[in-house]
Amino acid sequence: MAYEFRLPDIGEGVAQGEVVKWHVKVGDSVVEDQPLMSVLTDKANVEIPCPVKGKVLAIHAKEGEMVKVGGLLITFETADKAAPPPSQTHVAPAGPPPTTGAAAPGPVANDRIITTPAVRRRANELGIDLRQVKGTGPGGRITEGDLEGFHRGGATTAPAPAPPSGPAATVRTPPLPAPKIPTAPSPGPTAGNAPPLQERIPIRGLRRVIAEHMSIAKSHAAHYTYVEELDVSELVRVRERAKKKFEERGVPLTYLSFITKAVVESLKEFPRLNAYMDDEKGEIVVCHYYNIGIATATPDGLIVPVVRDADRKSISTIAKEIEDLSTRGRVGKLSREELTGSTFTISSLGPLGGLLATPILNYPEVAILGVHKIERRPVVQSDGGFGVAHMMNLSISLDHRAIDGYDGAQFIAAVKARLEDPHQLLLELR
Amino acid sequence: MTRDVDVLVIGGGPAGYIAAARLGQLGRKATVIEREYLGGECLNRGCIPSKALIHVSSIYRHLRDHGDEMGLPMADHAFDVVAMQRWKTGVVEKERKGVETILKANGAEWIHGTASFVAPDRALVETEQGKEELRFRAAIVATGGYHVALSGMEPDGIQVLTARDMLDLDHVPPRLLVLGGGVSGVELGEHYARLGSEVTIVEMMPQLLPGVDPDLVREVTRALEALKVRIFTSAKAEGLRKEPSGVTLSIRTQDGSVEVAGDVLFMTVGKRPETRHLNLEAAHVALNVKGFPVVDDRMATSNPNIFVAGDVARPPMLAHKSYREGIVAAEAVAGLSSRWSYQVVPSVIFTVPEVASVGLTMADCEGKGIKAREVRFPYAALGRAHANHEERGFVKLVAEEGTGLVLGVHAVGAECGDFISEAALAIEMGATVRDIAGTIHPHPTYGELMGEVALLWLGEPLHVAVRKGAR
Repeated sequence: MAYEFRLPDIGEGVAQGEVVKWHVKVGDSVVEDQPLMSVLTDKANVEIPCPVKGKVLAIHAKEGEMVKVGGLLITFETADKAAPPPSQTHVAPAGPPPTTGAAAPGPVANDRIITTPAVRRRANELGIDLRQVKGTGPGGRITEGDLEGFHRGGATTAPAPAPPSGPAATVRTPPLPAPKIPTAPSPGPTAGNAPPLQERIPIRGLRRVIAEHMSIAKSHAAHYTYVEELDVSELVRVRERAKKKFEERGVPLTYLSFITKAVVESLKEFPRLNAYMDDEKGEIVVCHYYNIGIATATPDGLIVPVVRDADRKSISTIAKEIEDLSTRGRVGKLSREELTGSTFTISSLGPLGGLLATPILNYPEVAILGVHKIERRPVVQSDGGFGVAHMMNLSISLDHRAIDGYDGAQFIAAVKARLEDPHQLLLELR
Repeated sequence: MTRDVDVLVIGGGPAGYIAAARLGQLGRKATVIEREYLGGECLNRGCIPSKALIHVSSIYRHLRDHGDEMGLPMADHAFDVVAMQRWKTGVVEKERKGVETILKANGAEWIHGTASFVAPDRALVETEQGKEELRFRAAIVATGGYHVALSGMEPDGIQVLTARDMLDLDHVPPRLLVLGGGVSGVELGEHYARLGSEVTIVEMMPQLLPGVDPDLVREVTRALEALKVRIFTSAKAEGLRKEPSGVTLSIRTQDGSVEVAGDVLFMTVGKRPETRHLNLEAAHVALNVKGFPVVDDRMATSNPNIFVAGDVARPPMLAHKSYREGIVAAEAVAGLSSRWSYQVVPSVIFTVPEVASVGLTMADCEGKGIKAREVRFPYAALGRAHANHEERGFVKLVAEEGTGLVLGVHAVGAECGDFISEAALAIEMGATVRDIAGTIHPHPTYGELMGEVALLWLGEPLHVAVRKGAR
């Protein structure tokens, strides 16, 4: 019988998903639990397993298409004999032309790719194997539109981890009004087949989610950024001393783990920064748990895995966890849970980390801390003389609707105090 | 001393000069090494000069055979072989100039000399002025093929001749032996037969033009026999005796041993990839068992910076295939993601009648398990064929049952090499027979045959009667 499979409810607050990749095609025999498709929600990339054993009759959503929860995705033919014959439910994607009424061609014909030289050339340019592209033209021809559609939808091949978001239950992503963007200037004539002067990259998959979140954050929050300079010479010494011991135990003792700890301890002092905005209710939701989002670069774009309950974890545990999350994040192996629920976010570019930044909030959170590189700078010491110290800057962006400048400055002063005197930080360890 | 160049192109034939031109278009600079003349075999001693001569002898023969009937009686059957040679040389020189212009226009440099690799990124170029080592960022090897000869029958330029010798003859040999019934043997053998040579063609395989659809070959054979050409197939050359009076070739056929005599022997038994002087080992370019470089669909060899194109790369050894490989290789060198993604390579044989073929034959379809059907439309049903007194031949269309997808077109007859492009386009585009039938073909042209054969396939022919059940 024909078994229709619809997009299931894949998590709190998820209303729709983007079909990122089909792992099956029409005509494939499938078994239960084999990978069926990847769906990207605004929270995470979800791998959906095959629900039944049978054969794929029709696929109803193209890669790149947005499907609402409950939307029809795929029809299977299952072994249940009691069902109506498949012909009544079969939606053939590419049958023989109606003139013939003949049965489908043999196996060779099924493997044949019918398209045009122009499409073949474009497929080469895009690095797409045309065998994967479904043709919608007469007799299953792959049209230019089919190829471009596949390209837009299928470009994200690896399961892409999702970007940051606040605690899931209350996040709402208001639909963005379509912005008026001036038409791009024409690249001008290109000589013959010279390489194109422009490349158009569709905003799809993870990129689209990042774009939407950033726009929402910018348009909703009242951003301001505050920068402070820290003398972390002592922290450098402490870390250098401890590093080797930790490394022997397989723990990379990073500055980020110290900073995370200092942030958590300071958040305890200034809980209003460990909060998010519930714009719908017009409330600031202060959290009494400490889930720290760590912004992480991946080949597909920015993701923010979360160190949960960081207040209850040691510096070395935090270090180990950050390492694990970022490693798995880079290859798209994080679960939705690991990518959601942060209460405060830290963005560090490590040694690359510049002088200052104006981080965009991980909306709806009210604060995000940017960490910059540690470098030796000349400093005026307390005795009036010059010296050289390990200096580092912190940039914090805050939502002024929730946090005034004075509060933000006090928080940064608290973080600074802990990082400049790491022994204090270590005493706070539990 | 080593000079740095951008892209070294070894060979200035169809693959090489086209690659150089394409490189120029893409902002790269080609240094072309050619040991002889730009244009390679095709332009200097193949396609172009042979067509210049074949065209002339075809007109001659057409007038001689049909002139009386058509109102152009030939007073005598005179022709001037020396003037024909002048005509041919003029054509070749014009074309050669054209290649020079193309290279100049695309900023390519041309060196008259030979090249061999000394390292994966360097080649030694020898010219009349001396030696120079070139270090290249990329290289395209387009050295073509070389003609092989049977041992003991090596061309001597007097009695055992190569294709080049055959194209330069200032007389018509009264008795011509052709060893090898492939394309050039049949084309040039027939050319001299039209001019009055007594021609004998000896082919080792069971049919002339091995690999070509037997239906088409039958028509060519008939035309050759009308010119009194003797044909031996499944015949193995066993020995050659040279005497002042001529040459005698011993052959063994299924019926026993035979001796055939001639004034000269045209040795045309095949071509191999020309890698002999390249020292490809030093370049880390691997060869397959057939002597061709191992190549991917970007025309890259086992050395990622060295590409190949044309006859040296792989069969079929056809100039238009070489052009395309030159383009793919040049684009790959320039960093484009081009690949060889052509569905078919058409081929044309310039006999009278002409032979043209693209795509699958019925035999191919059977081999591949494709359910296909073939129809055949005769030239004799075409107005233009009558007007031109070219009634010989037919066009066969092979298309898939059910879908009507065009799979192959195989033709023998006047000018079929020109309209075969329509069939090639149809196959590349995934067109159906209905698409071809739905295109208006201008009247009266040979191209109408494509439209007519398509209608015939659909069972709706306009210019032939179909007997019931004959479909």
